Amino acid sequence: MALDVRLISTPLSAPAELEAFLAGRTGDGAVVTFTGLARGTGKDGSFVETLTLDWYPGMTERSMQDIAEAVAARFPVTDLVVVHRCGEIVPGETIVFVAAAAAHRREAFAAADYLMDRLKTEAAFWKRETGPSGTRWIEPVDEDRAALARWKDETP
Amino acid sequence: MTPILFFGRVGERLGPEGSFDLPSEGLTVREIRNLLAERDEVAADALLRPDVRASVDMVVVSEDSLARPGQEIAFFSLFSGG
Repeated sequence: MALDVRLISTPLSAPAELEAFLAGRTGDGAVVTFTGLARGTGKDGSFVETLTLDWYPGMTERSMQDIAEAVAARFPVTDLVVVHRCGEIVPGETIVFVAAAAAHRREAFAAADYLMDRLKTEAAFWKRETGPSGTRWIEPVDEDRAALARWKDETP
Repeated sequence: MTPILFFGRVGERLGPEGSFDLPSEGLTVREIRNLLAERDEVAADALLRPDVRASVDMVVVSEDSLARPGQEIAFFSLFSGG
């Protein structure tokens, strides 16, 4: 069992991460990945030039690690990788890449899904969008909270 | 002087870092928040909000938690998540 949790301020390559995650993997039957991209439009349809993720060095990494450990404790995964960007990101760039490996696909799907639901609501980031009309802060929306709440009633 | 870190909307208003003369016996988060807010209207408006939380040594804490000199104290708006 290995947890690979990284916060980076440089471009994130999902294909490179996946290739590294798959290399030499002979004992698992399933790898599920999720790649999150910066969107060029805000919730209200406005144009987004840059997305900025502020972070608290040390605490943000710890929050990501805590979430990854909770996922590993809940689902029978063999390995997890979580790579998250911080700083300025432009539309089309990858913000987050996660991969979960397990013996069978259902556990890998569930682990990646749960990991993303927790990252989207609990990770220690402060996100803002900048466009022609200025900058605005982004906070978790009801759909994010509802997505996380689903897991409370489910047993893994 | 003890540095105080600010993030999110709080950091936008007050800058990334301030400082505070924390007595050796420490103060609660509530006391630090109120004393910082007494400095000026901008600080009061940025800090005296129910959705502004605090951490001590990178752990989110309650208002009654004690912070002592040498510990890392931060105030911030709600996490946005990743």
